[in-house]
Amino acid sequence: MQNKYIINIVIANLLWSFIPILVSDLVSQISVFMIIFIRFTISGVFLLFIAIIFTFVNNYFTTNAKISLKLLIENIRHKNRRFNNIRNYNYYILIGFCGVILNIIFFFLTLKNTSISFTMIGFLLSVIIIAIYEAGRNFEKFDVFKVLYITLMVFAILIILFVSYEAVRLGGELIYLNGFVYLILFSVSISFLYIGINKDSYSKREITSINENKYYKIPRFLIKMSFSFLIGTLLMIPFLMVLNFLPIFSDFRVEIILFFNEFPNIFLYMGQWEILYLIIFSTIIPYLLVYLANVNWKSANLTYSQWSSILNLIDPMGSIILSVIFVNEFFPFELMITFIFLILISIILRYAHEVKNMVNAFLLITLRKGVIGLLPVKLLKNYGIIAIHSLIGSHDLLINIKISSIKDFYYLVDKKLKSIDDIKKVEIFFVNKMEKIT
Amino acid sequence: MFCKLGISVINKVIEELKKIEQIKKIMSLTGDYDLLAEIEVETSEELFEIFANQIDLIEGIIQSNTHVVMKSWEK
Repeated sequence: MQNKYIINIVIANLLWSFIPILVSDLVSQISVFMIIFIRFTISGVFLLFIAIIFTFVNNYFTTNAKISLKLLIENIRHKNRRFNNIRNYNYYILIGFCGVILNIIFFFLTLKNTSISFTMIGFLLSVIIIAIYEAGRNFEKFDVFKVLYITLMVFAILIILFVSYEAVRLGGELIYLNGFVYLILFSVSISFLYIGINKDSYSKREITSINENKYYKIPRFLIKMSFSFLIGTLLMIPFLMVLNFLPIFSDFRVEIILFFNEFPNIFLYMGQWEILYLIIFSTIIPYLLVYLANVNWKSANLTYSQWSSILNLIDPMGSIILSVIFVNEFFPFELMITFIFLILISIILRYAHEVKNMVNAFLLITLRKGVIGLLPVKLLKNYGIIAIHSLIGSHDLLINIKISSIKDFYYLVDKKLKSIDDIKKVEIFFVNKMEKIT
Repeated sequence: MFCKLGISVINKVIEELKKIEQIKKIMSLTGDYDLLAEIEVETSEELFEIFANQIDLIEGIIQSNTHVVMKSWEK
C-alpha cells in the first residue's frame, strides 16, 4: 500500500455510505431542509470549535511552532489563485452553498422521490461529468483507461436503471419527472463540489507557517469547511424564500413550507438519534479523517486529492449494498455482484489513468545572485510545486513537481517559472519510476 | 546526488544503491542525468564514508553531481 492514510479515505466513504439508509426514513418525518440546516449548522460550529481548541492546544501544550489564529482568519481575505483569483470568503460561499448545500438538497430530494439505488446514479454520473470537464478545460486525453472506466460507469448506470425499472414493474413506486430532475441537479452540484473543493491556494505567510508547523493545515481545513457549512446554511434560508415564489415542483414547495413551520421545534429535532448520527458519524468524523490524511500525506505517486476522487466510488457502492441489507431494497443478487465488480474495476482503471497522466519531475534552478531569500516561498505558492530545496553546489534550487497533466506542467514551467527574472536557468528531469522510498 | 550511468547498467546500479542504508530515495529520470538519489547523513564524515567506500565503487556510474540541501520547504 502506497500510503497508510488511504484507509482514512476508505473509512470516511464507508461512513458516508450510511447516509441514505438513515435519511430515507427520516425525510418522511422531518423536512429535507431542516435535516440539512441542523446537520451543517451544528457541524460547522463544531468544526470551528475543534479548530480553535486544536490551535490552543498546539500553542500552549506542545513544543510545536505556534499557529496564528489571526493568520487563519486573515486567510479568508486572501485571493485564491486556483479559483479565478476570487477572495477566499467568496470561494467558501460558492463551495458551501453551490457545492455542499445544493448538492445535499438535491441528494435528499432524489432519495425521497426515488430509491437509494436510483439516487446513486448521481455519483456515477458525476464521474462522467468530471471526466468531460477535465477533457475540455485541461485538454486531458481520453486514454484507454479513461475510456474504459467511463464505459464501466455507463454500464453500472444501466444496471441501476434496469433494477429500478424492474422494481416498478413488480409493484414498486413510480419515478416521476421531479425525481429525474433532482438527480441531474444532484450530479451537477456534486461534480462542482468535487472539482472546486481542492482548488485551494496558500498565501506566502501560510506556506511559511506550514513549513514551521505542518499541523497548521488542520485548523485551516477545519475553518474552511466550517465557514463553508455555516455560510451555506445561512444562504439556504433566503434562497428558499425566493424559490417559494417561483414555479417549482409542488413537493419542493411543500418541503419549503414544512421547513419554516418546523422552526419552533428545531431543538426537538436536534435530539433525534438519526440527526446526531448524521452530525457526528456522517459529517464531523469523516471530515476529520480526511483532513488528517491530507495533512500527513506522503505518497510516491498520487496526491491526496487524486486518491480521494478515485475512492469516492466506495460511497455509492456501499450505499447500495447497505440499502439491500438494512432497508430491503430490491436489487437482484447477480446484478449486485456485477455492479460491485464494475465499480471495483473502475477504481483500478481510474488509478491507472491517474498514474499514467501524472507528471512527476524535478527542476534544477540556477538563480541570479542575491535573490535566494524569499524566492522559494514565492515559488511554492504555485500549484504543482510540492517541495523546494535550496542547495550548495552547481545549482541553487531543486524543485519537486507533482502535477496532474503535461499541459499543467508546461503552464507551470514555461508561463510561470521561466517568466521570473530571478531565474537564470531551468533544467528539467522527469521521474520515470520511484525505485526506492523510505 | 544526480548520477549519469553507462549503457544498460541502470538496474544493476539501482540494486547496489538500494543496499546503502543512508540512501532514502532513488528515482530514475529522463534528462541529462539517469538517477536521483536522496542521501541522509548526520555528518560530512559519514557522507565521505558512503562515497569513498560504497558509491564510488559501484560500476556503471560515469558521473555524479552532488548537492547539499541547506533548507527545504514543503506544502
